[in-house]
Amino acid sequence: MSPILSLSPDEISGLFPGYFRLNREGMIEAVGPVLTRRTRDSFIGRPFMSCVEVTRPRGISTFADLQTCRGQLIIRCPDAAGIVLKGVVLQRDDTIYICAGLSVDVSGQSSGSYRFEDFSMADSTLETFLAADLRRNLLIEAQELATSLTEARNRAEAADKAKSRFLADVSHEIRTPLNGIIGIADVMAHGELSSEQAGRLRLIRSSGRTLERLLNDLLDLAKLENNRLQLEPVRFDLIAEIRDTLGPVEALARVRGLDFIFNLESMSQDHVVADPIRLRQVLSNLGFNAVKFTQKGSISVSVARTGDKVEISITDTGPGLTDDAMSRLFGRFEQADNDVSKRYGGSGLGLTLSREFARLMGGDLTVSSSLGKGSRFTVTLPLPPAPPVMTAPASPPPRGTIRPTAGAGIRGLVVDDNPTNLEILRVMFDAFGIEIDFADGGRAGVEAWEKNRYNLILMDLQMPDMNGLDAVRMVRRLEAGWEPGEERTRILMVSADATEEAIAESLAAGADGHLAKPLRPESLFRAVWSLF
Amino acid sequence: MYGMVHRAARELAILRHGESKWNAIAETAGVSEREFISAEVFTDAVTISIVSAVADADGSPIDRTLLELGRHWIDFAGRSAYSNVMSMAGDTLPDFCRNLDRMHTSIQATMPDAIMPSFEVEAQDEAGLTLIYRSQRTGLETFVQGLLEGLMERFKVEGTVARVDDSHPIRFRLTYKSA
Repeated sequence: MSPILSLSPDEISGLFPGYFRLNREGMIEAVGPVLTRRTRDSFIGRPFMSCVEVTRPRGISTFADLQTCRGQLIIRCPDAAGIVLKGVVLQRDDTIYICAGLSVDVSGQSSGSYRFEDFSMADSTLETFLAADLRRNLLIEAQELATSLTEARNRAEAADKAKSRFLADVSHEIRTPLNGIIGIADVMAHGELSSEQAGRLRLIRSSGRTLERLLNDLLDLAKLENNRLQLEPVRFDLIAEIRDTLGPVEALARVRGLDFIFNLESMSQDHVVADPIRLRQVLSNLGFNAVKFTQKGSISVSVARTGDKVEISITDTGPGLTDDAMSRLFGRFEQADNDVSKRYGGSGLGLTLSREFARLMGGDLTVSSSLGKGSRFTVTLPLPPAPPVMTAPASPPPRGTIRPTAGAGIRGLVVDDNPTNLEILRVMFDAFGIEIDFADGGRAGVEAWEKNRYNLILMDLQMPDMNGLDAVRMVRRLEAGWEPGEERTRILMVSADATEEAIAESLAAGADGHLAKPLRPESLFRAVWSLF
Repeated sequence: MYGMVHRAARELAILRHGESKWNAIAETAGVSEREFISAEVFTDAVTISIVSAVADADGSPIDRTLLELGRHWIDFAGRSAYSNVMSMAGDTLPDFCRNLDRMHTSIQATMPDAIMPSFEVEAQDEAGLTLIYRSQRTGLETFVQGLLEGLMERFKVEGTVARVDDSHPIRFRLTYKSA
């Protein structure tokens, strides 16, 4: 007798959970546990070939065919929930064994109905099945983690946006009264003052401008975080721009007893197309930083062009930076160390913004430093040479010449819904001897203009009832119906938005010019006189 | 210990103390992860740190938290993506206990780095069964006791689980009334 037949029913079940024992007539005498558990009607006493479908090998349709089968057998059992078994046929004396185990569907569609006992202890079908289950679960968990990370990132981004929005809103809210302080102080500076009053006023103006710079930095940061900061490239002379920008830095350095050295490698003119305002911010920030942190020695500026790249370096003989300080230097609200903000002030945003601007322009801002010897900040920008500007820019009028020789003939109207702005403009116009009227909204402005025929309007852009653009359009439409020869109204749009888009929109609506807030007496009256 | 146990510990901590406290617990335990992958294998020190931090938050001795984590683990696994494996292990408490070893052997084959314990039903009668627990680890007996209590809850069996005194290897006696 061959060894397999000496196994106990339990042992056979453990090895071949899907076995069938048949007699010579093909009738089922016993079955394994996987079949017992899954059939309502017993297999016992039924013909094997009527209970199963032999799917492999092909062509097994009778019990006689089955007896000749020597290879692997795959059978499907419709009466046992459609399970599929894989095994071999063994014939011993008067008994035929179909020694089979489960052939599982590892896609896991029916896994819940399996039990450990359904699987052979002698093969790795169960492990294969569990491994497939494990893999499925890993994918589910990975998906859950990815979802959870995405949600966390979305929450963080939303919080960040809310913070930026809040920052922008608060900054705007602060800007209006601050403009009032700075504007009034500027106007007062043109009046008669004692030296003590002039000193105090200087303090108010410089404090106001410091606060204004901080606000601008915060607004720039908010724009950067929302990807709303757009460069406004124009053609300009790079060397002249650098000299202009660093002029005040040089003056301050000399006042503090520092040498200031320009090393321009014999470059006299170098026209480029870039955003001069952002470049000016970067260089001004680096320059004033260098002066702020340097007690003695020098500040040197070098500009070098290599092909399309321009490298601008500002080197100081200040205290230098540790590696740790350098690693934190460009972080938001970070300064080299905590003492720095106490000793020197500053928000810690300047270098962050400078680097962001440099990168926005396609370049970078880097630092190298030697402790006790000084630091070098280098801005590298892709600035291909551009043809020079053909028309020379208008020279600004010399200081002290902006006061008009006559304000007569100007009948002005200021349209603004903000009382502070109205008051600032009232003081400014008063100082220059020009009488003006006020309207506190776009609609009221148009009505006042229709009634009094002002020849100058300063129009705020954002107003609740009718915005400045609509008001300007209405004025121009009404003017179109006037008799020929009547004096056309000069309109200046006033807005905190000084982008090219905003300016173009103002001009398209019919304004003659666009002034950026905060208004300064000089720029205001220069614009006014240019229209008369 | 594999990450699934940590997932259960995380869920237990969040159920009791909330998500933000879980972050503090994980920080106290010195684990950088706030989420775990079930099949990831961790050293026992990480597991004990987490359980210890949860115990601190509970204001309970660590053994009590280990016991409760064991109970919770069974409930957690039954609801998790691994509920199939739990179902396959048996429909009754004795069947499940008999298959515990096979379950761990099979899981070991799919996670070769995991150190799995071994279980053997030594005796079974009308009053309950005796289960032998063998492990390379020490200190997790209370956790195992909690698992067995959790199994009783899973199969709605009323009874007790007690460690058989001074037996070697460790034995647990599950006393219950057979249905």
